[in-house]
Amino acid sequence: MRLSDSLLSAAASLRSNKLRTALTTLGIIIGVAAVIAMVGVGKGAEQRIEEAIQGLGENVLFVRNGTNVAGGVRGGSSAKVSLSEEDAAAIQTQAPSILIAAPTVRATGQVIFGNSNWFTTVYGVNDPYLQAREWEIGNGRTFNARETRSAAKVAIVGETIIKQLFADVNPVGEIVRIKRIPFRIIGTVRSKGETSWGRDHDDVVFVPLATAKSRLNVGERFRGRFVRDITLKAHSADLLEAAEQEVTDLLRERHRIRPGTPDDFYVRNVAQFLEARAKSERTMSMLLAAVAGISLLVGGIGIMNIMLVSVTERTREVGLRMAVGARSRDILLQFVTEAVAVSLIGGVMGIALGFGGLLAAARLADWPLIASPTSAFIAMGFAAGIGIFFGYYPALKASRLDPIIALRHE
Amino acid sequence: MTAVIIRTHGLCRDFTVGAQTVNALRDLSVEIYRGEFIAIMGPSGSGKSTCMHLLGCLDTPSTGDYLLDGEDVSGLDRDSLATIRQRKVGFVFQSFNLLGGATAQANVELPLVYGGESRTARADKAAAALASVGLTDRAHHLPAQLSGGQMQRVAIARAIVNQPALVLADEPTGALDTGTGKEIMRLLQQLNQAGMTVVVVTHEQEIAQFARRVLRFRDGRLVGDKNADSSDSPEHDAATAEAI
Repeated sequence: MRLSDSLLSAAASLRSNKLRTALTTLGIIIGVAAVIAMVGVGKGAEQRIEEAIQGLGENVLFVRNGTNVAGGVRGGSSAKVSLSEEDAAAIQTQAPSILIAAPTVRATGQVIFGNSNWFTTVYGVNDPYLQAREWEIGNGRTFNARETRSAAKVAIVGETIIKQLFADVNPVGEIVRIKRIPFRIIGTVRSKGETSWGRDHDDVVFVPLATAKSRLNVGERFRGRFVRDITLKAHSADLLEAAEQEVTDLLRERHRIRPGTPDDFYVRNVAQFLEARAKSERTMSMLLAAVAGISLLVGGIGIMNIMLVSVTERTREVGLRMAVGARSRDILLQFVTEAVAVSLIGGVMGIALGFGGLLAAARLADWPLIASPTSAFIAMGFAAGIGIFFGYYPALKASRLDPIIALRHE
Repeated sequence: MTAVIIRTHGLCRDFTVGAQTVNALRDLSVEIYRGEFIAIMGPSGSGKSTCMHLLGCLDTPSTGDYLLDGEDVSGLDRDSLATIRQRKVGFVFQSFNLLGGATAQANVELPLVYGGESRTARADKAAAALASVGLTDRAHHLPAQLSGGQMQRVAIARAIVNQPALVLADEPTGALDTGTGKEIMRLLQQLNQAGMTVVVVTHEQEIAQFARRVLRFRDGRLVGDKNADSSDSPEHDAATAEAI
């Protein structure tokens, strides 16, 4: 018997029992949809981590000024300033796990070029910061030592600034006004893109730390040598925790914090924080995997059940087919084809449901989920496998019928 | 002399039911020639069904030899028997056994499907077979849209579509009224006159009258072999003598 004939025969048999076929596919539909959702959630979580790492730079930690507790009144975060450029220098030289320690300040304000203007965040940083956060220079150059030392009015701009103010033209050499002060653009940084939760990394201007502190209003609290935070880059991912400990110990010592007294700063390992969130998404993914597994199993058993009923119902048909020349393998092929057809129909519908669900979740919950074509192939593979696995036994039973007894079957 | 299409020698079929052995068919030695029209008769339990199953290659003998169209088929396995059936035997059943979801033409094509023939060859042969049973205009009807007589004609077309060496009809008129039954028998007669070897299993004398040779069974033995137009054959004498 040719495969095309057994496909036609399977199609005819499935058509003759539409409701039964539909109900049989249900388990597979749910199972496959869950596989699609599982892969989507998992990939979404992975992508968020990747984006976050890309935005942050690898192995990056932040040290922020801690909460000020004075007379029982707690100020907001960073109310009391204790971090200084000297702290950064000390970390750089004394913490062995740390590759880079870069002090930063930050201001927000209008950037003006010609008759365009744009509200953005201006970071006061030196070159090591750009290296720590893995900002690559696109056009032009980074700050040199003289500019850093002398608080030169130079700036490096991000992709969004170029787009907003210069209409994509190379801005190196142009003069912009930041908070009414003219700055010469000496370089641009390559795009880091937008995160899937809508934060634009490229909406950024960098000026030297000293320049920001002296020319731009970064806040009274950051007078003198004080800074808003220190960006750290560890030598490797394994050293992140050690780095956190070294920095904490060093700063407590430098700030003369007595044992038992809380830190006046905090170290934040953002990647770790994101990792934790990704973990919960992976748990979700695992849960979906369990749902997928159980649904596919139940769906498969459903197929087996229906195929057994079908074989019993069609015993005479099997007998007749054998009488006119069907060999055991023809009968086997016919019923396995039917089982696989049912599960593939379920698979296709499950893929549609799964992708539909992902799109809806992505749109409604603003949850980045990825509908990957690979998952569709995996799901179809699963469906076909289940059809073969659970269809085989009933088909084998049919193929082993004695034609004489089968023909007598009522 | 025409060619021998069936030759059996000492064919036996035993069934073991619990501790008992039932000799459903005992020591059948018979020759059937190409172009014969034979009726197999006998009461239920006489062994006529077992004989038909063996002749139709649906079953294998416990002992004895069976040559069908020159091929020894007594020792073949399931799949080889299926292939022999596909090529050499056409079946007509009491209850038609048509596939309900398939058109008359598709039903007739079924043996060819298992022969692996191309779609066009199948359609041509099926059309020819349907024409020879007078149902060309019903080719695309489903069994449910046909009368009992028409369904049996479709079944006959299916039986002859592959030009088998032997057409085996098991009570082909059992589900039909007398008039329609006679029509079916006349159709089988026509096919026989066109050269087809036909064996009909029946318990009705009227039906057996269409045949030119009647084999009678009782208690698993061949007890009568009567040719309508000549005297009894030697086998018959031996069998009768043994039975007495």
